[in-house]
Amino acid sequence: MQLLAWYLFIAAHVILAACLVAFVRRHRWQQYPIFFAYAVCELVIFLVTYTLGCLLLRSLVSSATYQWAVVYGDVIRTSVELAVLYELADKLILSRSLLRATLRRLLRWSGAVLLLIAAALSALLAHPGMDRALNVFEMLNFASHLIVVGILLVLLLFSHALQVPWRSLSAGLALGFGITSGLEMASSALVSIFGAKSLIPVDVIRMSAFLICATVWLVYVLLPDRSLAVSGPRLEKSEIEFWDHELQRMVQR
Amino acid sequence: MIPGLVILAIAVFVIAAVLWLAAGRLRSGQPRENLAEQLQPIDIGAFRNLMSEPEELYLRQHLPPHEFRAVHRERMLAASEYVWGAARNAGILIRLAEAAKQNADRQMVASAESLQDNAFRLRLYAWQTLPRLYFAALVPGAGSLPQALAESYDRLTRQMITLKCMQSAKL
Repeated sequence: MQLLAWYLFIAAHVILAACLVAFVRRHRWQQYPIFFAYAVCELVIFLVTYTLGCLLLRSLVSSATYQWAVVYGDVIRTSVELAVLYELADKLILSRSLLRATLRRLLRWSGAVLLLIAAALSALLAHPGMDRALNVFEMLNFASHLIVVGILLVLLLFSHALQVPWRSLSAGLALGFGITSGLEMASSALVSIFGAKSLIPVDVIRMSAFLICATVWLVYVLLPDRSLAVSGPRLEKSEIEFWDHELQRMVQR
Repeated sequence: MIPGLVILAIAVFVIAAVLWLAAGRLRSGQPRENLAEQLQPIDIGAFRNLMSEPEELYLRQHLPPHEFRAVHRERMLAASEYVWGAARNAGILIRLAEAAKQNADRQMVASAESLQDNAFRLRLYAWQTLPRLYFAALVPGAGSLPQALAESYDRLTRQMITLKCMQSAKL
């Protein structure tokens, strides 16, 4: 089981590296610089934890060093993930002056509420039978992914309510984060229910989630970015101007 | 054990919600058949009547209280249907404008952007109005609608006229 977890851990990051290469070759990194930074950061964290893991197997580092490195890596990863979500929000909604103020307020309040919920729920996940570092990791991991998935949900709901069109890559990135963060939350809950004996099977779930997530990203980086196309009768220029004038007149406050 | 199970259930629900919404956003980028033909007609006269304050006052004066409450609830629910229709039409306009923004003509793009902004405003407005309408339906005897709200309805009514005209223009 542990071998499978290691295999998935490596495979997911190989796919992420491929995604990074495709991102650079297709010049997509200029459109999503923070996501690019996130992918680089994730690979660096992987290399550090992988190296520490190998050293741990040879008893060259203590398990506490490895566990705390994973905890710090998780904190860094979450910060960059939140920055990627801000980048998505900026591209899709904050760049539209009309919706900026509403979404900013909504995100601020959602962030505050999610922080409170995360603090309250993660305290429930503490497991007395586990190491301190593992407990800290599980609580932090759950809290950070709850915040990420909550912000993502707010962003998706807001876009859904206002019918904001998404480019396929943005939706693909959101889908990837949704899969991995949701399953990470579920994994923390499973560890809380079954205790330390479930750590390895839960690791397999976590790594599978990240493998799926990296694959989704790779597919959407490789796919051409679709823009909205409408068949059938379209709006002509004169019609657009007419209806815009009418709408503008009517929605003036 | 129980908090863990509750959190697990919440996580599963959240995963399902994110997947459903993200899939919806992915579909929003796909070509759609005859989007403009999906604009729905809105009976502005009927909506104006439903939101009319004199009409409400007349009903309040001529109907027994329990009957007025029932009628008022029905009227507010009917009005909310019109607002849903306006929001739906605004959503279609947003997508039509997004498609028009791919045009090479700069003026066309500017017009489409402007149209899209106004359609966003209408949709935002509809979302703000709907809860108030449902509240008015739940508490029918709580007096007449606030003046600001009535003005808002009037603006919505005029927006609906546009949407109705748009439909008759065979977009």
